[in-house]
Amino acid sequence: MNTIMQSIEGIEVHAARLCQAIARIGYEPQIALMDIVDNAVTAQASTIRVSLFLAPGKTLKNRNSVQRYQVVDDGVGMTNDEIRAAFSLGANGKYGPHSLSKYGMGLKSAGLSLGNRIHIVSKKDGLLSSRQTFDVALIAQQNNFVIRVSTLTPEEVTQYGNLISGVSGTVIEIDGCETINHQSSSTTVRKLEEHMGVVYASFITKQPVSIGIRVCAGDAPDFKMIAPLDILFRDKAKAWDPETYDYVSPYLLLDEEWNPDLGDGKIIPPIRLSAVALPQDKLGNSGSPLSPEQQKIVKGYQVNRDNAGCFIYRNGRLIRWGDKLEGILTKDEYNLRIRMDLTEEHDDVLHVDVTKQRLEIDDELLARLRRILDSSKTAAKFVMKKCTEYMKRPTGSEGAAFSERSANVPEDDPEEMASGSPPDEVLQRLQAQAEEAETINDATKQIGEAGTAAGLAKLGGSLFAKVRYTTEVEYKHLWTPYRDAKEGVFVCINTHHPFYTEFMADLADNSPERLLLEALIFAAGVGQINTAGNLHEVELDDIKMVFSRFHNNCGSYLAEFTGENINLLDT
Amino acid sequence: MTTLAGTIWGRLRTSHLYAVFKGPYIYFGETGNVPPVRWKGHLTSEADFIGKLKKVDPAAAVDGTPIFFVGIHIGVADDEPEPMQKIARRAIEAELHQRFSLDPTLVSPAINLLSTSPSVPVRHLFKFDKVNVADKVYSMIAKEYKSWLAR
Repeated sequence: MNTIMQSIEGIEVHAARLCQAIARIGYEPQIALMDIVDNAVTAQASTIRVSLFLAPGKTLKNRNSVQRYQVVDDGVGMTNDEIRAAFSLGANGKYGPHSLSKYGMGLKSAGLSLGNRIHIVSKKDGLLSSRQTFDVALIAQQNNFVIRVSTLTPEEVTQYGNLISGVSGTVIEIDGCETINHQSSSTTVRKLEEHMGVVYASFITKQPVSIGIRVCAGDAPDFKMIAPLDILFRDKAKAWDPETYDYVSPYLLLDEEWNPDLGDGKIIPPIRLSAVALPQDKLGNSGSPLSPEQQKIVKGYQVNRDNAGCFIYRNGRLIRWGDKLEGILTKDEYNLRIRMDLTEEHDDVLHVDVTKQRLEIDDELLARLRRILDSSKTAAKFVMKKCTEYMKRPTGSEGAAFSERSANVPEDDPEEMASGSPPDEVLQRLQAQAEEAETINDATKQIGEAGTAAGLAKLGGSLFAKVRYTTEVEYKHLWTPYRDAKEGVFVCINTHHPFYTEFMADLADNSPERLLLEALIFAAGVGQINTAGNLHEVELDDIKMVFSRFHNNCGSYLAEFTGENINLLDT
Repeated sequence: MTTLAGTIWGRLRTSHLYAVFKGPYIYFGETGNVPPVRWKGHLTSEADFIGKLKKVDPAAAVDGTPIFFVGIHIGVADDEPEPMQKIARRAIEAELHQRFSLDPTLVSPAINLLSTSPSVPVRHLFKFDKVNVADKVYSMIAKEYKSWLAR
């Protein structure tokens, strides 16, 4: 048998080039700062303060205006050895369960994306460390991974002692920022203020930790404190109920545990999935039909495309803001917010990357996720449509627009127009129709300006209501026509029929679509009333039997059509 | 050998949800009749179970793997007004698809779904809790399927 010769040989590591590479992993400044804040959270800090120090002569609006970033925490702190370990690449992989850390690269990659030098001074059990610096220029000069260790001067001892006033804590400072191309510091601060409350909501609430941010331009202003924010507003969310939708509240559409088991035998804990639909932002404008208080509430949700999508949390910390889940969510669903709660146990199955900002869900899981979110997407679209219709609904009275437009349209039977006086049989039938109409008229004719009541037609004012929306219709039928002795035909439309609840109710009460549907139904009503009243050559009982069957068929067909075409108006 | 091939009972024109299994494939559906009336289509129509299976796995569609049908009577859908019954069944069917997607392990190894979830009727409320009903239907289907697998 031949023996294969093997040897193990070293390869070159270009330390400075490697530093450049990890600095380019793809951080924006606010993301990098939050990665450093993660370390403070992991260190059980109760206070974290982030300061941006502007370079002399620079303003908030200038690009590359930051001279130094500083993050101070009162966490457990580090000894000199522990600081050195924190600077090592792929540092100490022994993280506790549900840690925010993963690969031990965050401090270096985030820090070097902000500047060329990372300094750490820490205090543990009351003992202040030396100042240790990870300096790209020094590494390039030495062509080796080295750090600079400096003993603190008496002034620095005072300075860092003031920053870390408790028995433990850490100061991380990054400078050498001038050579790195960054957005303006006002953008960085704005994004931090907008996002940190959402990113660290559970830590601010539960740990608890207070996080403050400030920008110093030769001064020392107060820190602006970050308030926790559940971007799904789940504490205010109502259970989904299409009949009592209120145009103000968030509605909880999904709150389930998803088992991402791929059938490969690995046991993975379930992932919590929540979904909430919010009202359209336009309803928060001053011209909307909502009250000023309600408008303010709606505006507070900040419903827009930037704040829509899936908010993915890993161990309680947001890692993806408004992810579109590989196209499952589209830009049109901007009132839908989804929350996915992962732990480090899902890292492999969801392929969480080194920055913990990106993940990749494979096709099988995406297909399942698509099905799980389908009903939430549909409900969110429905909410959007309801809000749109609500915005343009000027009357608030169903049937009013048709009654107005048809007030002068004759309802004559063309077969009878040329004939003389009607025979007695016809007069008796018309009398019977009028009496039948009386029985329903009071329950449906109108209810004044104050509003609607159950079982009553929703039409205010003095106009005779030709189309009335009511439950006073045989349950299988979509409509029933009547003839008032004085005003003529009116039609009651069944608000319990699925054709109404699925389609008609979604159309604004004065929209052309609604008017045309009402005109068709009303015309059928006129036809039925005139036929039953005037066709005296046919026994009335026979006519009634025919129309009863006709309505059973119409109602049944429309119910079936509705069942086959759910959400047709959303497409 | 003579063995029982299955039994079915129930009244005509009543609401049912059902599942069809063959190997690693599963299909959910609903019908307003006793299920065999609908099941025939799943063995013959190109738009139903066997037709969809032919498209994704032609060999599995014709191999000797046994096929398993299970139907569940949905009394709460029958209790809805007649025009609403189909929509009620659709609502439960959509929820059943979601239950499966949340946790397909209940019916493993049949984890490949062939049916398409119907559009969710979000504008309608029913006298029953569709999530509870779908949960129960899913666990009944899973139990019957597992017990058939164990035979």
